[in-house]
Amino acid sequence: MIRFPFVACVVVACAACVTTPPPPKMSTAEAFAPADSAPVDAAQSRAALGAPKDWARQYRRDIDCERNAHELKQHNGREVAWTYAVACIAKGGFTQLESLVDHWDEELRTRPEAPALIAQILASRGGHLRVDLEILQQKRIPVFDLNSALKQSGAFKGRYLVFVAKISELKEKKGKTELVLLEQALGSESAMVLSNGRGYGSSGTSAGSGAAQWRSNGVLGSGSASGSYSRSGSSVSGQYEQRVTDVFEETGQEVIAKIKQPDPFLTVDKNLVFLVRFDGSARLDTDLAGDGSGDALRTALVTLISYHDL
Amino acid sequence: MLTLTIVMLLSAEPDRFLGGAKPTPLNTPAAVDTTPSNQACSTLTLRHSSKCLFDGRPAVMETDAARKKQAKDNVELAKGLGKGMCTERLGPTLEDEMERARRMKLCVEGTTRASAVCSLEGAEVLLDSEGRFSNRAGTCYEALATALQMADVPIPPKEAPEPPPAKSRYPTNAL
Repeated sequence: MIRFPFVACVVVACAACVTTPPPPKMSTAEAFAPADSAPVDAAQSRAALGAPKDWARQYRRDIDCERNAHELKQHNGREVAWTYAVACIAKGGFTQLESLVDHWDEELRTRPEAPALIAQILASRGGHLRVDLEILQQKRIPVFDLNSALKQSGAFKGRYLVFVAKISELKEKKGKTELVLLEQALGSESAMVLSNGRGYGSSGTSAGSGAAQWRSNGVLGSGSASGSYSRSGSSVSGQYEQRVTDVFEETGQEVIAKIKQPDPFLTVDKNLVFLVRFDGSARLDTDLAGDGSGDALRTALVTLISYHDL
Repeated sequence: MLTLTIVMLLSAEPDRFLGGAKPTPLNTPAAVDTTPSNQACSTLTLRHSSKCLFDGRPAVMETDAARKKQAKDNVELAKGLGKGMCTERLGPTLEDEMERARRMKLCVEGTTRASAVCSLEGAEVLLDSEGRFSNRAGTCYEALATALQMADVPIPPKEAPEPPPAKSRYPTNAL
């Protein structure tokens, strides 16, 4: 009688096994090995390369993909090679900012698709914008931070800014949609944790119960009592290590971003990397009642170009 | 060959957010969107005491004569605005005629006083074509807002003389 349900369970379990296996894990040695510097075959024609998307798929590591796209310049020209470099980035998870800046600085400055690609890379690198914007600016690639733009509003009008923010709300009026963004700054939290497999531990539990009854003809009369206790404990000793985690915290800086149309993927209360064009700044009415120091926080007015998940 | 390049460029372009502005190269500053924000301070936000930004785009006066005239017009406009908003604010909410009249008087006096800072020295018109205040008009906006908010505060009844303190049943230890 119980055989049928048992067989059904086995069938269900096997059906789950049929799904596509996960891609094999990359070994540490492979991940950190220097980029493949084998020269590109001169006879390799542009047609033989195939579509950039398919071409990029053959490389498991972004460093190899970018390096080979760079090598394509020699035989196929910068313009064609760039389309393959773009495919390396569009594949996702591309973090090779330094090599991209070294090999493609001209394209990054002159191509209209470059700003969104840069923002995508900065998001893939975890939103460490201070360091990453410095890498870009060292090569005179004009992508800036919000704070600099607000300090010299006139000089930054029409320039591209990148920052991490959360959407606070979406406001629509007379067919115009605006997002209220709250800028986030990267900080860190540290915690002491037991290092893996090096701890020693003991644990134990104990429990008990008791009961008592008495009967007497004296002044005490009669009664009953019962009680129970339980105790459990554990102790672990071992080697501790400090772990540091990135956390984003609100800076208090508000940004009003104009968008052409609402997008359901623009999730409220989620940290995202925003690429925007700086349109100027304006003062909030509430800032008038401030401390009179004249350093009222101005709200940035921007136009959204793209946004990227961290 | 050109077709192949175009096809390759299109296929290589990453998925773009359709609600965003058209991207342009980084090497030249893009055209700026100067249209005021939805959240610009206006007569509407003043009326509702709601949070706003000074992002109006009023006309600027070029000549001294125009500025002189505009300064007077701005003050008159602010007075008119204040009076209208006092009437609107106190109209349907107060049943007590006396209380309403007293508060109305205080509100109009307050907004008239506030209007004195609304000349903007005639540099620009107080409001733009859609009733928005610019950054320069911030002080005027705030003065009017404060005066209007005072109209919401009930006037306390005239204070009666304080009764003498009740005598204590216990003798005090006077030193």
